[in-house]
Amino acid sequence: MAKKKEMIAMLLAGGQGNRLYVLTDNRAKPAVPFGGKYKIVDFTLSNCTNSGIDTVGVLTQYRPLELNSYIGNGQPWDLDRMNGGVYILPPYTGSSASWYKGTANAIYQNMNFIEQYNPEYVLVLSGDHVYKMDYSRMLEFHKAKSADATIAVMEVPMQRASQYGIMNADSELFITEFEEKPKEPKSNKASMGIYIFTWEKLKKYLIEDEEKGENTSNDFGKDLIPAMLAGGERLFAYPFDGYWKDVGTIETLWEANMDLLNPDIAINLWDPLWRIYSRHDVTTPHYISRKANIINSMITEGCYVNGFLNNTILFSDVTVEEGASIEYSVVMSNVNVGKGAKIGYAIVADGAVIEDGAVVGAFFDADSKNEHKITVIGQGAVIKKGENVPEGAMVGVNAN
Amino acid sequence: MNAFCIMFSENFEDIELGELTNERTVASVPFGGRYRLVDFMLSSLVGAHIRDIGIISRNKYGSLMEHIGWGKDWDLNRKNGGIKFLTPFLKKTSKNVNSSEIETLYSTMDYIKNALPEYAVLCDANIIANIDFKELIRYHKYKNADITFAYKTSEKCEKELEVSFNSDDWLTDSFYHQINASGEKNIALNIMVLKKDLLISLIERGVTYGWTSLKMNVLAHNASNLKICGYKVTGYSAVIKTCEEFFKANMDLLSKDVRMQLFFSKNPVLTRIKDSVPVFYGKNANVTNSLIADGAAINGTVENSIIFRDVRIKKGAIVKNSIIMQGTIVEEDAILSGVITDMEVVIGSSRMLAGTENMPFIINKGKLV
Repeated sequence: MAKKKEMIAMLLAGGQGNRLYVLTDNRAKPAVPFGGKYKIVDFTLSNCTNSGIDTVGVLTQYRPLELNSYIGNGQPWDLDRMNGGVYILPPYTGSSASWYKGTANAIYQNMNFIEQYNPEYVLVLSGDHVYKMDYSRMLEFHKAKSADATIAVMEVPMQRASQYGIMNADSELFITEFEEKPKEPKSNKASMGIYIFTWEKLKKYLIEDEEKGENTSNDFGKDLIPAMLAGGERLFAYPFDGYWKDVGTIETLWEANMDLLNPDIAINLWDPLWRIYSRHDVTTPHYISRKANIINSMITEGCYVNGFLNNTILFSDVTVEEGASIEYSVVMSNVNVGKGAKIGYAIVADGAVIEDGAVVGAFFDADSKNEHKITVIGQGAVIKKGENVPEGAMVGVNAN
Repeated sequence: MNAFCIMFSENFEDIELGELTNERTVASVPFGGRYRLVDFMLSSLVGAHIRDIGIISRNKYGSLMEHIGWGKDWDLNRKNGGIKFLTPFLKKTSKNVNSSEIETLYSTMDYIKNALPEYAVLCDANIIANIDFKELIRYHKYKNADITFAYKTSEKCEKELEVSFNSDDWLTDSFYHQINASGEKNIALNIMVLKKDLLISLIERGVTYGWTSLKMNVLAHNASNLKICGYKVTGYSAVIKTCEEFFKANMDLLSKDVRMQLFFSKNPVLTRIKDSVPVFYGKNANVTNSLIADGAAINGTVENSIIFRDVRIKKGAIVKNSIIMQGTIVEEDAILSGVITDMEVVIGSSRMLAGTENMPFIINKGKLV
């Protein structure tokens, strides 16, 4: 019997990530690379370990290989523990099991895992958000309010509120109403998909939700939270005002990367008290040649840069040959950019090859105010010599 | 691989790295942006599946222990074997702390006798090279030698053992050059392989006869009564014994050819993982021909330099031909040339410091200039 834990985390990492198109052809959304040397899931895992949570269940479903091998035994996040640590929880574990039907069903199917630790509280997280948050303070809030469920919310601009799950709460932050993507929002407190539940309550509602059979979509936002509200439980909104971004689309993924280059909005990755951990490739410091010119960019280890970079993020082991120019782009690991190639407003996934003189995406011009469609080159795609990939195109590699 | 290794974190020759070894052993001197000297031999050993390594450390080994920890980053946190620190074993009868190589080895006899593998590898930590130990041991077995040691050809031969072989690669003679001898010569590296049993008997004999050095006594003395053969190390290699050599070896990394030989030829070079952020280049950054490790933030001019992790180079600062170690901050408009800053140094704004290639200006760890 494992030792009792006050709170354990369940990380929902099973989303299809269809809106990331070719970037998730071979991997789950949380395994998508971000910010030079991270994957999206590093932020939530690092938040857990930095908040003192040492037991994390990662619920995987679609294309789990890359995520599973990345997380491994959890050592990079200090989550290789004698008692607890990180566990990959795939579907089909019980005898009457199935695919995870929804977020609530995923937790339901892993109640045995949770019960092993006999926790007071369960933290439910999404693996596709970029933010830094101290969950231990959210737990203090949960306890202080004697809440049954606490939902982290952040204020979004009112005109965009209809894109989110909106919590209507009173001045004590007691949630009176929840509306999923309301046409006429009454508040701008958007759910961040971060929940703390008192485990006994959550367990009760998970079982009840499961009993509804076909009449439920087994989703936290759509079913479970409304059921708890209807049941008169104490739900509270925990306000968060730091940097937070859902990176579920090509545009937001690109924006979040560019945010790292903007000193005004940057999420501070340097904070020694709140490091973002990741699994590292074995490689060398990067080399900047005599002909390179680099402006406002981020470069990580193993790169060889002999060209021009402007507002660009290079992941590990990228080669940029002479005369190549990359602007406002995200170039993932092991990409080769040939001589004289040009890349602008693009995300180039790992292992892609941009041959000499190829042109990818749009380019900066003062008239367009930088509102360009993002061009995406998928994992391992090859853009031939002199080829031209137009703005907004998605180039993938056929599965066969 | 059926071999264990005894590594010397510093040898007993006169190594003069000045202030860099004030508070640390030679093995843990920072090198090449994110490494310590010891990483290269450790990575070569691990690459050959030699996973039972004892590091002999006489003194000032705090930073080495911190760097290596329990060996996780080299995959040496093994149930059997793994990495062990062999700290000075003072016995009641010893007069002082291990004064010679042979005496030190004698004091680690328990470790040697308990090691399970059949072969022993001995090496120094101050060798920058990517060596294929599998090939070295295979050659040793193929030649049916008693001892196989590594050598290289060098134009420079000062305080080195010149070795000569017959046509079958057997050692016939050797000569120690106290002062520099010109011309290309074969010089012995402090890397050798032999059977564990022979090592034990050589150490015991060495204690009896008052031998001090493996190279001078074991190799040079026994050319006629043991079958000693040489294994030529090709590809880049450097032995770090002086500040000048240290400076040059760092600058050698700016050559693509050297980086290919050292980092991408045989074994990946492993080091301690620090979770640093990718390097941020500001709007005023101007960087050419330099090697930059993660965690740095650069907004000044950097030329022909090695920049370690978590260094800050602020606007208007100029860093040329320099080695800037971990955590150093170069404030605005400071100018450095031919300088080595040890870890956590702060160079105040508009300061100017200069050294030369053969006399780099070293700034002590943690100093504020």
